[in-house]
Amino acid sequence: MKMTVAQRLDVWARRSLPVVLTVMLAFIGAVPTGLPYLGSIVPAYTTMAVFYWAVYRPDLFPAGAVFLIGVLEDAITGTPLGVGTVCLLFVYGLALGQRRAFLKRPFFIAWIGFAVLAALATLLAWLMISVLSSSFVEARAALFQYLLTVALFPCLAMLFVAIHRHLIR
Amino acid sequence: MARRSGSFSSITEPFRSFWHRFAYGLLILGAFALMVLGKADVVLVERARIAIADATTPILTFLSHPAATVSDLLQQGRELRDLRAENARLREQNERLMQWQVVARRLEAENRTLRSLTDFTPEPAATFVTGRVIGDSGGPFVRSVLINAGTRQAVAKGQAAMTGQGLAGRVAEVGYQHARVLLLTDLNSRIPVVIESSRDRAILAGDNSDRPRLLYLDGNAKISPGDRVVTSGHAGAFPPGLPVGVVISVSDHDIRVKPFVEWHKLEYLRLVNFGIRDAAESDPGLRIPAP
Repeated sequence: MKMTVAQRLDVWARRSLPVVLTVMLAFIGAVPTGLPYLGSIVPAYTTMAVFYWAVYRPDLFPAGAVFLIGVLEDAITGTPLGVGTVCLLFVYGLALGQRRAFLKRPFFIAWIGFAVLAALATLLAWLMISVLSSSFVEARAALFQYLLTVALFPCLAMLFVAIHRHLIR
Repeated sequence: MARRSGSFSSITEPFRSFWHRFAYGLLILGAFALMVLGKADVVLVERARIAIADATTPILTFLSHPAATVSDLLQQGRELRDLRAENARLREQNERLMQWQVVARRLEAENRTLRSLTDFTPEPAATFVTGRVIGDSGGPFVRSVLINAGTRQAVAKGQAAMTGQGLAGRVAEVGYQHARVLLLTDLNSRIPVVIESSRDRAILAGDNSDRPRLLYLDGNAKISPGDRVVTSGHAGAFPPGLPVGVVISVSDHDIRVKPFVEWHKLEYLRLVNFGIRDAAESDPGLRIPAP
């Protein structure tokens, strides 16, 4: 069976969806919300996306894309270049290595796995920022962001599952 | 996409998995290298980051419009709810300000007379560039915002960024069409300030919390909660006397300041060009009289 150009384009567009979506999430995370009380803290959308696709479709999410998304996000948010990148790659690597533990299991197991990985990534980011600024950085905001990220993971996962179904179809 | 036969993929598979692992380690190393180079202030890394932010400015500008509209609507809802109380408060404030106006008029007149008596050289007039906030750092370790004004609008590094309420931060990075403003509360923010009433100098240092600290204050300085803090103008590019915040808590080794700016309402920032460089040309006192 030979594919027409249109079909090829369609397949290509579908296969690039996870990466494109994650790039969009990186931008959305930087948009000022103007919400009071929340401060400027937004959940780490890209961490959720990287975890999900590393576990369920790593073939559509190469490590190079993770690196580029990390650099992009660092440049937009003003974090020292490389800090977010290392954290994303760290989550990606561990999720990829342990993906058999999450596949074909109930969702809450993946949720717990994500909570653990995100905690390690937050700790790693805090350590790197502390070393770079040679002082112990205030960690309350990081803790708040972590809790927000873990709490919102199921919502984003629903979106990812919808896209995942679209990819398979 | 392309269908491979079983035998071909079994040959390439080990190589591919090796490359996969190799690539991953290389990328981690690359990220660490970026971090180290960035820390060492390598110009190339700085330029790369500015170029990326500059390229993404149009996207962020586009995305920030709907977000701003929604937050405006929410804001309007809140305002409608509090209309009556707000009205009463404003009426009371208006009365108080009327009295202040009388005082200010008298002081202005007195000031003018005294200036003419002492041949005081006035400070150069400041010019302003206003930019919309299009990106918020959102991360827990940085307090900075992106605005959609850059070298195209003559924004320069080090300029003060103000809202109507007071000083918000200073320009830390400028691209062609964007600038990054490091907020007062950021870990790396250091701003020379004075206590308005006592004229004691200090440095306002952010630590990523909402309440920056006062450092290097004279041990004998009398300071109490409620004192106003303004910029001292010692850094060069900052005009003196910009309102910064009020002292909110004083303990033995920790003096905290509550900035006037409401952080969640940062929509537009005014960048102040104090024109210190042009001061010499515009200052009539320095001009050499023609013989």
